[in-house]
Amino acid sequence: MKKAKLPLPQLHIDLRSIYEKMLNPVIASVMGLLLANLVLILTGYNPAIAMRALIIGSFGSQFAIASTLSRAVPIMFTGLAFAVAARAKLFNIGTEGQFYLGAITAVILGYYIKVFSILHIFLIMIVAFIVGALWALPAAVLKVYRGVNEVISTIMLNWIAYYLLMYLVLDVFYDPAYPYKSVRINSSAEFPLLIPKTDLTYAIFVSILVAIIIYVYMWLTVEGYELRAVGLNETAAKYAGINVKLVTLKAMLISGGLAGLGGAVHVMSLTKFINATLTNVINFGFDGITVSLLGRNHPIGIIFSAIFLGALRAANPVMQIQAGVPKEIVIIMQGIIILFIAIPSLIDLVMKKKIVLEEIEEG
Amino acid sequence: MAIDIAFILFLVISALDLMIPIVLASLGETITERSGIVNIGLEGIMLMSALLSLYATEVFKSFIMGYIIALIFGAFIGLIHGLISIYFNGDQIVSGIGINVVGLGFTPYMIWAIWHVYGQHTLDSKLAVPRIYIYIGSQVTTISPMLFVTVILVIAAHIIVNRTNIGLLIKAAGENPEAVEVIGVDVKRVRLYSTVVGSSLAGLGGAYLSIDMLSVITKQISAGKGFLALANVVFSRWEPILTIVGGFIFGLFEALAIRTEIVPWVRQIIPDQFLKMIPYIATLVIVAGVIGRARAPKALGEPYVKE
Repeated sequence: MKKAKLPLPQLHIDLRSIYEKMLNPVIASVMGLLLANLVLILTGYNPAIAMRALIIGSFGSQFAIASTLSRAVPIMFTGLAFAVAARAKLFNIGTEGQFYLGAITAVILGYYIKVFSILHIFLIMIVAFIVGALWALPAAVLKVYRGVNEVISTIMLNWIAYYLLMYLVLDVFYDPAYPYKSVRINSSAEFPLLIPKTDLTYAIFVSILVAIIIYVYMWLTVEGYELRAVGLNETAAKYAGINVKLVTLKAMLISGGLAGLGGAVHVMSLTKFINATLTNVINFGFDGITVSLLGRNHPIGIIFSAIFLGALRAANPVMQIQAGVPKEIVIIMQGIIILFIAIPSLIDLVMKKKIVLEEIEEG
Repeated sequence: MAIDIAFILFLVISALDLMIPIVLASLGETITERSGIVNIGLEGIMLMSALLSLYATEVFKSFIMGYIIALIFGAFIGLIHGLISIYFNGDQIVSGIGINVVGLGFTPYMIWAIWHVYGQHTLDSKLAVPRIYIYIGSQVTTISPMLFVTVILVIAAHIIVNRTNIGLLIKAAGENPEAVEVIGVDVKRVRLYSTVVGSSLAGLGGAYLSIDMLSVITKQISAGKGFLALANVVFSRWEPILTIVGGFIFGLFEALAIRTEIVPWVRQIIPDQFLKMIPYIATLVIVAGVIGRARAPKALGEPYVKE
């Protein structure tokens, strides 16, 4: 346990510690890549063609880069959401459900309200944040007042949100002209395009801005310091006079809010509606967990890991159509990366030498 | 649709059928969790073993081989989860998420790689597990022989966990691992075996979906059953024998939801989505301690580090 020190703003960059922190995610990613290639070989596909498609599809052209960045937007939000909770030692598996609620909020407010663009987007973002936070509230309250493990409660809330969303999209806010999707948001609620003829919008700046805000909040404010202190050592934080219950509640609500925000921005930036099978809004919460873990629960790391995962997603069509490789190989790869990330002493395992590792939660 | 005895009988039989995968997976997870390990990767295990069991059934032309392969594969995933979370001191939740994500990619990938079709592949009905016909009046419905296997497994698990020394060790590993170490038993090994056995049962549950109940493999065949099973572990208060009660209740809601979906006037009153929510809400209520109190094993989710 580190000694409690004053949260003085510090902005020095320690290259050595950054290198050490990056080692684990990098090794995990390399292992994921290698094992995914092994799967390709075992199932009779040419890994060289697949990897070429992966690179071309994600960074090979202006369109590809735009596609990568636009896919990084929602998972940057859910990644940040997961990270804020994780820093307070909370596993918010519920980002998935909170994301749904944010998405449907954007659909409803985007369709029924008509104001000028910036205000419309801003209004939806605020409401979506609140709705996402409210969806995290039961889990937060149960955790704080009844000691209920948040993993169980958020998994339950995810499925309740899933069926609620399905009901809202199919039965309430369906598009009368196209019953297989929800109503479409007004153009005033759409993020303007950043690069024409791509799907990249100004939302990318919003997501990066939010990442920076979270960084400032977590590392340069007293509240953020308290949040991390609770995550590092709850007992010590309690003795240092921190209201652990309040901090836990706050962390969970901010986390839920960010996930809800992500859902809304995703709808306003990319999808404009939710389809009846919900396929254009599902799994972003779970992808956020990958993003956060790869970025070591650090907002700046998350910007890069979201772009990395966005690249994998952007390459999907190129892999499937041009290279003829089932696009799900990248999801297998993502899963393998998570499995390796789960191992804290990965470096020891791979390099067979003792490096004194920081705990994951330290940063 | 009239509500009469035939309707209720159909509903009950349907619920018995639907509960099988949930009971198998939650029975396995109960054993795993009683030893102190959480495996939230049930959904992924079920999804992957659904695919592999169907493939094995086609290759060996035998559904028994399908079940055996699912059992072995489930055990294999349990081994990976156990190694990561017990021997490498990895995070159990993260590892479980990893398993789920691999499953999410693996099944559609393999459907394409094996059969070169997208999304789903149907099993020849001659190869699927033969089902038992039940006649109710002039109508007919079927149920799987797997129901009996499930009941036997639940009873066996109940006896092993509550009446034998092995069960005592499993429970002690989850409640008070130090005490297990004191009597000279390796806690880590007890936990590893429990995780392997638990996952293999989830594998059976996955196989049931593809080679038995539905005779098809789709990319989302498990449809949340792994998470429903996780809920059922809590709902059944970590008691093996109660998984069958919880499973039946969950199955009943699913059966009701399936019937409501196709009857417009019932759907007007209560949409099927709300029926599907009920098991999750009920579990939330139970963990909240509103109705009784469910207590998790004390050392659940905590890695055991020898002093």
